[in-house]
Amino acid sequence: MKPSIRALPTLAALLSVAVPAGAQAPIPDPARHLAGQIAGRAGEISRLQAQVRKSPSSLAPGEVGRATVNLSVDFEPIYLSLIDGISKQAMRALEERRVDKQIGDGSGSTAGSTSLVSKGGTPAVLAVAVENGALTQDISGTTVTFRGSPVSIVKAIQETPYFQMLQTDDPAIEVLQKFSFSVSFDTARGLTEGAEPTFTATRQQLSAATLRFSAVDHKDPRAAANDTRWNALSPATDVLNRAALEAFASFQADRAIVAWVDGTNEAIRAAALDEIEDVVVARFQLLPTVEIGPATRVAVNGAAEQFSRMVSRRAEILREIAAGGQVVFDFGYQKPATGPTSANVKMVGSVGRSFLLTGNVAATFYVGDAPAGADSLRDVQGSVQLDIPFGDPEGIGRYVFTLATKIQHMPDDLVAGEGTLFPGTKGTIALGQAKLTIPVRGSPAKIPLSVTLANRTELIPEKKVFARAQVGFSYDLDAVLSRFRP
Amino acid sequence: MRINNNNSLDLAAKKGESLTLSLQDGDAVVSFSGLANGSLTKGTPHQFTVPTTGTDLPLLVRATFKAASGGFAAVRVSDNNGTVAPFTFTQFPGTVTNAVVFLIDIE
Repeated sequence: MKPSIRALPTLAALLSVAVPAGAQAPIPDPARHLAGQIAGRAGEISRLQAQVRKSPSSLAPGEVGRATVNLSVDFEPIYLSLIDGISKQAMRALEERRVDKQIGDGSGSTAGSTSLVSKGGTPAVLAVAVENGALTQDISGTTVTFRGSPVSIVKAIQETPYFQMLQTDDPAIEVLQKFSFSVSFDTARGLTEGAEPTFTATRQQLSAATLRFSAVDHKDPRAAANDTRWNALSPATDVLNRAALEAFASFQADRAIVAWVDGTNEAIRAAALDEIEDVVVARFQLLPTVEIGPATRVAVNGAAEQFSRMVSRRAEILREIAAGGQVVFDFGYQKPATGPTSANVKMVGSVGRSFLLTGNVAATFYVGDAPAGADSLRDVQGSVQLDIPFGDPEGIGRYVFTLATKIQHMPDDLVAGEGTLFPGTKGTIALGQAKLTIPVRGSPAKIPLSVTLANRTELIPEKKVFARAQVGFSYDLDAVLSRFRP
Repeated sequence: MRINNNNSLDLAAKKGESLTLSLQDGDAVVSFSGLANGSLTKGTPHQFTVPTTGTDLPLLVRATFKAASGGFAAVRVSDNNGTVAPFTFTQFPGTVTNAVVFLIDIE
């Protein structure tokens, strides 16, 4: 069968205009920032007020200024909120956060509220590690996966606050930070027939493990290799700082702003602890209606404009950094419920921004005794992928056209689960794929259309040329989760 | 230098007193403006002199975060007698930057 790709542009166009009714344009960066700032301050004030009400003198000098709304700390969210357009979009972003959070909590997928606990409970050591941030936990079907790094475990044991986890003064810590690992357990194993899956973390339930070493990561904005790029931000921040200081000075002299600050702190004092966050958000929501003086308006507009410019410049720097190189080594171990245990070594490299080029080479070995009639080397693989994004990110979203090729060589026939061989499966498989990923406006959902060509499939060697067209649907859960840790 | 109301952002200092603004730790880009102007890196503190006139002089300090979350910067204003006014910026999820103003009154 020859693949027909003629219909793809038409189909892509149809899918692109099939935008859900009411879908809204993406929220601009300054508004998303303001939403984060208001939500963060509301939570911080609530936490510090709880501390103050319990023991009025318990705050450290560095915390006192943050326990209330005041100009020294809040002048920036105040001037951004005074711009009606930014404020409205920020409130929309806050509402989206609230809705997404409710959905997330109800799904039972968050740590500590999963069905895993009700099915016998996570073994205590791992549960403590997850609760203290030393490990993260994912559940997929009956498989539980823990991920972490040696550094995060050591830091969590030392009860280091989360925000200090990336301190890299110690060269040994810097090297350790390049390592990460994961361990997966199949909770359906090692049980009597018909029993509910129960997590015991025994060796019998161990299904896979990985160790990752990030040799080069110039895509990390915090990497020392990118320090010189960040120096380019100075002109924009200098101009912003001067404009922000003018806004700060005008606020001190503007009665309407002083009254808003006083009124907000009165409302905070009068509120119950569990109401404080809502009170702070509601007060910021009121700001666009506050009648500020003409001089304050000029200063506010100037500061907001410079803020937008600085944010744009930062985004440009991040795009440049995203083009940096990355080389990662993965070591994997797989122990299926039936069939031979295997291990694999993989090297992945990527570079590029407008065009992203990714390549990897990998080899898989049988661990222990190789199945009868098979060599210990199961296969070697190499693949290259080129991603070409196009389209307006502020409009429908970015399309991605992908070209990929993969070659896999198996020196022996494939081993089935029960240890028998699939005859005639050894040899070399070459595979090529063209894929168009179509965004859905206003949604993290994406629709991939792909055409794949192969000299054979692994189990159908008699077909000399094999072609397959596929239409799929994917949902980027990260896009939703990133609203909590974007 | 004196810290008023136990609030490290509310300071008083003598005319001509030498103060130091420094970045103790962090992974953010830190800049400052007002009483002094420039940018800060770990291990290179910035010294400035308190003017002889004025009230509540502002020193704006800004931390611009490099990644989407988890950024922080611990800064402080200190004098030669060991008085320290600290402030730690912690990045709220989704935020790009954060700025505060140290107000320094002249005694």
